[in-house]
Amino acid sequence: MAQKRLLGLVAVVAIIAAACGGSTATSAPASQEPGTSGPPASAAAPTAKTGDLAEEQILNVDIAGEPPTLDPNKAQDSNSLTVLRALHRPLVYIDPATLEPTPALAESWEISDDAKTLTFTLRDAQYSNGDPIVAGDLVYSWKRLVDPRTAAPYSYVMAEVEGAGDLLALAGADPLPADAEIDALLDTLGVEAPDDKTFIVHLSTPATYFLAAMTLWVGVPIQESWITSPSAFEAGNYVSSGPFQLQTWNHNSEIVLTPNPNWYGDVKPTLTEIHMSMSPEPAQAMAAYEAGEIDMLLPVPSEDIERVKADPVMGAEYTEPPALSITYYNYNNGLDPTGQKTNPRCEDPKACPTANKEFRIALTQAVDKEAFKLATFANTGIVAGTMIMPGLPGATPDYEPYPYDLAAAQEHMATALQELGYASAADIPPLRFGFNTGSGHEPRVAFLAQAWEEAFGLKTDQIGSEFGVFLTQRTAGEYDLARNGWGADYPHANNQIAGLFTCGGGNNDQQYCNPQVDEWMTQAASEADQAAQQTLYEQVNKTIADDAASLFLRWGVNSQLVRPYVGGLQVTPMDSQVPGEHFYESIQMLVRQ
Amino acid sequence: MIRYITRRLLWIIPVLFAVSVITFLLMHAVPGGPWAREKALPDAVEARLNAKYGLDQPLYEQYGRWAIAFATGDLGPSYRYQDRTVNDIVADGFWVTFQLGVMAFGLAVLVGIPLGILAALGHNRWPDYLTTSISILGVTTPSFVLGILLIVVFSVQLGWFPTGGWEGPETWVLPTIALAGFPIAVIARYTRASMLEVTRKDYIRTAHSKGVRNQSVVSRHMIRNALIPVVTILGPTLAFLVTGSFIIERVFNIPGIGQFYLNAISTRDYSLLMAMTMLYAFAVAFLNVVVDVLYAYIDPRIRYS
Amino acid sequence: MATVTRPLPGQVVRERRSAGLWRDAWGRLRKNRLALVGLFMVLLLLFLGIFGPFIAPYPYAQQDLKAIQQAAADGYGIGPLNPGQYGHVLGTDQLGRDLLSRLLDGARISVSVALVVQLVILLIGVPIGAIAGWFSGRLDNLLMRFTDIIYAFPDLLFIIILSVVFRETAFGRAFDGLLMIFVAIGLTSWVTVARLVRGQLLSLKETEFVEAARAIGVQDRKIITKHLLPNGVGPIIVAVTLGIPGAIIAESTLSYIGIGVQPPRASWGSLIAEGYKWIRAEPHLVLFPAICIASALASFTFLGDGLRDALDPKLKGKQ
Repeated sequence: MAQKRLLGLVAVVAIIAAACGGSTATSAPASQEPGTSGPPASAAAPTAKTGDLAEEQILNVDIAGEPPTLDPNKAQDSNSLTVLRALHRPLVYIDPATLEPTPALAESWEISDDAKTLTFTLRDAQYSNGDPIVAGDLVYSWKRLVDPRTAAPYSYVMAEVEGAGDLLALAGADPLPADAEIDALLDTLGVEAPDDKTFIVHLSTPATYFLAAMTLWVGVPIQESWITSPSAFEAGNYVSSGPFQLQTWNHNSEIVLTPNPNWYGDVKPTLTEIHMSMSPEPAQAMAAYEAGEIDMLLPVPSEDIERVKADPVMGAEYTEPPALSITYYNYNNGLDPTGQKTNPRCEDPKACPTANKEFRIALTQAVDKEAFKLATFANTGIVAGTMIMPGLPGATPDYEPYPYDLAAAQEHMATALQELGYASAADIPPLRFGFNTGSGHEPRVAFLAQAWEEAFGLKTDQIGSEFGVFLTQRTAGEYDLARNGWGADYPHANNQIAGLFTCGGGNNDQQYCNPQVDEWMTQAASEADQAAQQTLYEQVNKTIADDAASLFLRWGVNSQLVRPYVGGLQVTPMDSQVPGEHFYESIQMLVRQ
Repeated sequence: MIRYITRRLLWIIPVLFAVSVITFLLMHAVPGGPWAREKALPDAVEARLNAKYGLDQPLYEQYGRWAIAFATGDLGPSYRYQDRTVNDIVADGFWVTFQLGVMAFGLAVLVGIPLGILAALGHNRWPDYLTTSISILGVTTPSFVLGILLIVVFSVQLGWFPTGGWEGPETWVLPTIALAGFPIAVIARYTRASMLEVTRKDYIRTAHSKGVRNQSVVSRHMIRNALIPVVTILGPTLAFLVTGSFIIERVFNIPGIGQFYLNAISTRDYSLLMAMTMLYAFAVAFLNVVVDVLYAYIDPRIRYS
Repeated sequence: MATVTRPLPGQVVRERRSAGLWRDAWGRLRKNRLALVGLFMVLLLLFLGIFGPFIAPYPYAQQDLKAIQQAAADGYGIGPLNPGQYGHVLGTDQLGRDLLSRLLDGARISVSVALVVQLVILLIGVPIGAIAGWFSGRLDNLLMRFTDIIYAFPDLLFIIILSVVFRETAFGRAFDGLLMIFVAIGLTSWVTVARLVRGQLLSLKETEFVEAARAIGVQDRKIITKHLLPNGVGPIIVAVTLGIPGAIIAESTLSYIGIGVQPPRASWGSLIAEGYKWIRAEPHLVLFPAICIASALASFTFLGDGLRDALDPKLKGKQ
């Protein structure tokens, strides 16, 4: 059966890569934005009358797989977040319409004039176990988050808190200093709880996006006695602070949530139970929706979208609200001032043509993004010319410096070839075009490669690799061209640029560096004036596009199915696996027609 | 015989040792690690996690620590499911996978062997052609396709069975059939072939010529002697089935351990992968002992020194 | 180790029998209609494997995006073209790449993988199994424990490493990367054949005619190659034929990992692997490649079964 095992691998490698891609929170959010037409479900939301309520208030959804962890400080993938959003609520939360921070656990807050001190006043609130939620629990949670011993993936969102920088850097120290030394550093962290109802944060530098980052799941209040107890994350022991509590967790099989009797929020859950199944296979989840086993599905597999739309029943249940995500392809810019990721090949300009701006412009103008979207994304999404997604401050949705124009592309290519010292594009050694296999990227890569070959006679070496191998090689700058994508963690322009297009950033795999961009980013972080801040982000966004730093192709949408009897949905562009997953408490089951 | 069996069972230990060393080395030689994400972790966090789990230490030390823990029954922490141990994960899913595997194996044997015998008895007539066609279909239909087809027909269209899960007999039917499809075809083919081999052996012809009634020739001599290749195949097939099929467990959303083997490779969940590999290696080695013992039972002339 | 020089069943027998017997066998094969169909299909496959790319209506990588856009505009929906639409007999994928052309181009890859891998498996598996079964004892134990190890270690890891280390070397690029595929699948898949051969030999070597042969001083090697292997050829033929679809699909797994044929080229296996997600909306993307693989298996099965019967003089008159 050795071959049988290999046989199994076919689908597998494929599938796994998809799973990995998705569960890294890359596949992001969906949305309901101001101005855009919303899904019927959301329209039905606030208008649902009590008289329409079904007798049985049980919601069945699918979360695509076992959550790797339900520890709020450590979670990072969408399976976990989909559950955590029901179990916890941070200090501030997002307004589904405007994406602005709104009060949650904090009933109000004040920001000092120098924008460096944030003072929050907490509501009267209790955990699911009846204990009061006090400011000290936030201090504990935040310290735990930046504690190098926790090694939390999202600890960096605390970087601007006073004293956090040293702690975050300490994580890389080997061996770790003595516990006492770390504890001493933690004591200097700029968070304090002068009383149970007041929580104060001191920032070392103004950070206008900090409030938006606090809407993340990582900074929720955590009771020390709970999280340090054995098997804290199992049902029965789990202490939640959100609208629901963990009733059962059959690992790898099902999670059942029930309303948290002590939930402090104004909207009390109508649902009596939420059943979350964990189908790793999208085709099975799709079938489960059709068979009526689950009431909502997000995302609908792109291969099935046309079939769903054509279906008389499902066609009416299908919507595509926007998501805060983008599909783009890296050009290797070959720039790296930090020296950490120097690509030796790029020392010779001839060996690294994508480091040439004219060359990148030529490639960009040779791509028909509309056709790309039609053929490889079932025509879903919005053609993108820049990085920041529409709906966020700093977005410039209509800005496209290099539209599809083959004649212009030829001109830029001619200039580029002259600068690079090639007689024709066909003389350039095949460009290394990297992607991870099995997640449906192959046709997209083939589309782009063909476009460039037809336009310029340019050859590419299409290198498909297993996901882990691909990531390693992409980070190391081994590709000239590489598949990429991003989903917003929190709705703010900073999250789409910092680390991705700033010099030497951790996710700057295109090895792009423009000091002007970095400078504007720093300015924007301390610019209290909203309009001025927005202008700075717009400049950043346009400049990156002007530099043809990457090939921006498509902003995502959340292709989703919702049965008509699910009411009260408040979808956001941050939803990733369950429509309305940020506000489970407002969901209601209506009488079936 | 007892001595032989004991010796063979003891030999499983060096086999496991060799498999563990090879797997360990390969696993760490593959690029990428358990912390690789599309959204890269900060370097410092990655370094911290490596230090925390000892992944920054020399390989021989890591192996040593793993081996000692393994010997004491500690399979280590999962890197992906950080709040759980590999022991928990395996304990949760093993019996589900085992049950599914045994049911599929039973079905495969109960259908496959009679099909093969039927084909051999009706050699080059319709039963043979029918069996061959079924086998070709069974082998070439990818299990994913078979699984989805079963779901679409029996769950979505007819509504007879749930689309997935593992919550009672009605959820067992489709995955068992889907999992048994391939082995049924394989077993039928081997049974047919070795039955035909046996038909031409001298003693069968002798029995025929002595006027032994057809039916008892078939049952007493042929089937028994035809079993050797079939039994050879059954060992690894059972090992494969009881340690789980990635695709079937995935397609039917079954909370077994079959999914973990390949997921662990893909997510570089080292300790989970080691546990799954050891489990599979043990199943293969152990069942091959069983197969060899069965050889001697089926054909008493086979003696092991 | 080179005890067995001619492990191919057909060849073994050819050597053993006189020209007259071989002619008899051919005569019997000719009367077996199914076997002839199998033979014809095998020849057809070989023909497609060699000339497929030349008779394909389109280049395998050519994208007919105009047709895709046209189909969307004409109200046929967005996505792959159905069979027969816009001049594509078997339809296209989502980029408008002609499925028939891709299948014809892929025939070369899939057929050669199917055949060569089976040969590699035989070349490794039969000698190891034969030696283990014949000599039994300590040698048997060591060889069989070695097969246990090969069975159990995660071959996927091994293959990923091969892809990383060799992809850009001459070895990795030889024959469009097919050489690596032969090696990767062959090295990890011979175990079943080895165990089958051993099992057969353990039983057969105790039979009277072996004792007789030994008594008159026939060499071990001759007994194995000329008497024992031909007697156990049935299950080996089954292993080889059943291994064909396995190898074709395993090849696509490997191309996923980055070994062997790389996109935009496609093999039958990788067409299935890319097409399976469309199974509900556009089943032709899975159906046609699956039919190709099934026909490959069917042709070799018919031929293999017929060959076995034809080479077996004792079955004479039983048909």
